[in-house]
Amino acid sequence: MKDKQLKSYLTFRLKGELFAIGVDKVLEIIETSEDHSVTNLPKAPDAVEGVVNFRGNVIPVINMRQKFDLANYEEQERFVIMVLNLTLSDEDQIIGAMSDKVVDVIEIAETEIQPVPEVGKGYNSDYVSGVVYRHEEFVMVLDVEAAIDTDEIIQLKQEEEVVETEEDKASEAE
Amino acid sequence: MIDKFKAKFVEESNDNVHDLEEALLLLEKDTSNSEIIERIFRAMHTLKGGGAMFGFNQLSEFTHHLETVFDLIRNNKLSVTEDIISLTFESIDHIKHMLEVGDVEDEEELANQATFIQRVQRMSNSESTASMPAPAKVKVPEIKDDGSKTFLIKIKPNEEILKNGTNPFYLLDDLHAMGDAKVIAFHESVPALSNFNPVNSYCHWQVLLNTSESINDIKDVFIFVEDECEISIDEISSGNLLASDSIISAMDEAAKLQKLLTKEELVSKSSANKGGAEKKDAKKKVQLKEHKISSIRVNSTKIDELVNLVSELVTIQAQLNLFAENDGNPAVLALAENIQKLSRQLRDNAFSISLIPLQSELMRFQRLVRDLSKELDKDIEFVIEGGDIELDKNIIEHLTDPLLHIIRNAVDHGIEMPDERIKSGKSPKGTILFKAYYSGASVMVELMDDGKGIDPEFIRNKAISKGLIDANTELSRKEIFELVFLSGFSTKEEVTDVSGRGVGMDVVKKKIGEIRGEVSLDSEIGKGTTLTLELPMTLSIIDGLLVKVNKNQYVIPIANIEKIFALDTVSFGKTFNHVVNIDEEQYPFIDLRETFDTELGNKGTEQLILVKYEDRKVGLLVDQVIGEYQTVVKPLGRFLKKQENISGASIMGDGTIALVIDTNRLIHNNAIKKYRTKN
Repeated sequence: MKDKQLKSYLTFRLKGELFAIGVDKVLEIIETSEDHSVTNLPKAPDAVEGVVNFRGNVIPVINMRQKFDLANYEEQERFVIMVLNLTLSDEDQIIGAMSDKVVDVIEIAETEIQPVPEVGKGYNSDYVSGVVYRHEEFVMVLDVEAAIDTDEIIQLKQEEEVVETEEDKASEAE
Repeated sequence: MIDKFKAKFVEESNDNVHDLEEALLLLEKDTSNSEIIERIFRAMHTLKGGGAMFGFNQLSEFTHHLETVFDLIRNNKLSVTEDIISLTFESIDHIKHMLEVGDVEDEEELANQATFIQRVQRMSNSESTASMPAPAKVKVPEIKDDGSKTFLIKIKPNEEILKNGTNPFYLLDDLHAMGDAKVIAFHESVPALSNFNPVNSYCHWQVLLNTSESINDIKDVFIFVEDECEISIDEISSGNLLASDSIISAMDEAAKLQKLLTKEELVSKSSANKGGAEKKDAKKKVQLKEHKISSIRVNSTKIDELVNLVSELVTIQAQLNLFAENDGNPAVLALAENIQKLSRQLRDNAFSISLIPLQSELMRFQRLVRDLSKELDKDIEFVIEGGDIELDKNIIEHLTDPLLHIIRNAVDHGIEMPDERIKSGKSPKGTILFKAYYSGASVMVELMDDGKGIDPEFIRNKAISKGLIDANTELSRKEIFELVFLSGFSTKEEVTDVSGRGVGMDVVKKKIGEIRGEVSLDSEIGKGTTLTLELPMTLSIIDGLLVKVNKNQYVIPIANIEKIFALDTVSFGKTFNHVVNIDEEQYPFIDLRETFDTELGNKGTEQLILVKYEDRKVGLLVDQVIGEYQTVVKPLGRFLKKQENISGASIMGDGTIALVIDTNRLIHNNAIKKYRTKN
């Protein structure tokens, strides 16, 4: 944390590991409960947990543990949904990403971010753009867009159908 | 800024072109209707003028030549022929093209354009001279005063006229081009330099014009500035007053004094000059009337937004109702009720705005049928019934491709050649009837041709040869016609330019299915083929039945539901191969808990919902029926587009989400799976 440009990141945990995403992408954190949880979609892709109501719009929820090949949630295990505004395929998309819990907002300088070490990880590091050492722990800085903008979107492109995005309106309505 | 105007011009011009097409189709049926000719002329004139104004110079030039042809027609110097109409249709296509690409510099394109213009010119030249000698139609020029007239024209533009990009001098130039003209400029209202705003126009003019054109032609000059100028056109006398010295000097005088010329003054001068010859009351003052605006153009995205907001309101309103009921406060309940009433009205209104009549979309099909049948040497009439039926614009948009395909099929394969038709004792002219009508909450669209029809046996054999069905399969007549919609089925072997573009009826069915519609086919050999589309009126709100499957809530559209049965699990214990016996009847059923991969937790009563699937009834097994629910269907978004069984989601009063089941696809997918596993 020197003089350089600092950027704020939201940190969250997935199965013990600490991840960080830019706060500029985070719209809201939704706590889930027994009554208010994700509506499962039958026959959805593995990483898509279901849908949730975000300010009157239906948004998809991505299971980040699945994305990172981490062990899935147990029956009663609770999680929170980070509502993210992402630019996917040149379009603003609002999606929910599941995390075990959100931890903190930290400031990271661009120069602090180190390349991902090649060995000793219990997770899929494809979507991690770098690591930062903080409070005696490694924080994985996520490239969320890359994490989400993969197979699901590719499948959609093949459909060649323009679907009106509800998400744009939600961000306006705010 | 300019681009914005250009886009607006293109948009408006497309409307004009549309209107032009429509009028031309009418003209084809009634070639002497002067009203239609006038309409065509006006549309062309608008295109020409606008084109020049917004930098579509080539468009403007081209339309000018076309306009010339119709000018001759409207002045009875040329009669409407088949050739003219065909060429005009081609020209309209060309205009559309030009609107799309703007001015081009590509040489090939320019050469094309030049030859096109030549063709159009030939039309006006050759034909006009050919029909010129017809003495009845041509006005015999009067020797006395060469048929020309003199008009006094006053043009007083608004100060703001320059802001619209109008140059008043061009108007004067246009007048000059019509004949002899003398212009007096009045500049007395130009303010002192300190108050002078360079973007305002302060001048006004009087023009004495001698022309052989009619007063209408003069009006046409001002067609674009009607609203921005004070214009009066007075006929002073016949003959050329500009030849008279006394008039000229009177004008010079007026210019010097900055005094407006009056009609009376000129008339008296001219009659003095002519010895009081003919001083009829030729008073034809053009009063520009105020017109009431009965409709406005609104960008369709704004309407989508409105409908979306209203949908949200309906959702929130449901939450409010829920809260009010729980709260029990009578004041809150009364408020909630009032808001419910209002939001319902608002919803109905918003939806009615997004409805547009089918007619608007059908024009192009009329054109299509016309062009295709010409191309194939067939004689086909496209008849529309119920064109005023209104549908959600999103549905109409989705309808275009399927209709295009169906109509092409009818023209290409359905209707026979004229000689063939005569042989089979039919009128040589084939008919394709487009019929739309309301049926309950749906809109039915029938496309009926009186062509050769389809032999069910042929379809059957074809399906067998394609391996779609087994040779021994017994199928009802209806089932056979259903085969046409299977993918991999296409009855015509060779690919023709007209209908064979690699898409079959399966695509039609898929497209119609996307808007929750259904399509069926019926045909009789020798009599013709009918395709029936059943469409919902609107996409975003449905009446549904809320059901519970395990933990999740689902909505089943009520329109599809036949009956609901409460059954205990025991009676299913004996079921075999997913068929259940109810009231002496056997129904196949689908256990939704199984299909949706949720664990079979609940063991108690279950409910079976019988839904319509084509002409059968299929049961859907759910844990519990909660009740009827009017719901706003929200799209799942592009992420979840692959969801086949679910057509959308609905937000419940308490903020949770219920998924809307597309029963047709659900059953269809399951039936296919069963079929495959059996083999």
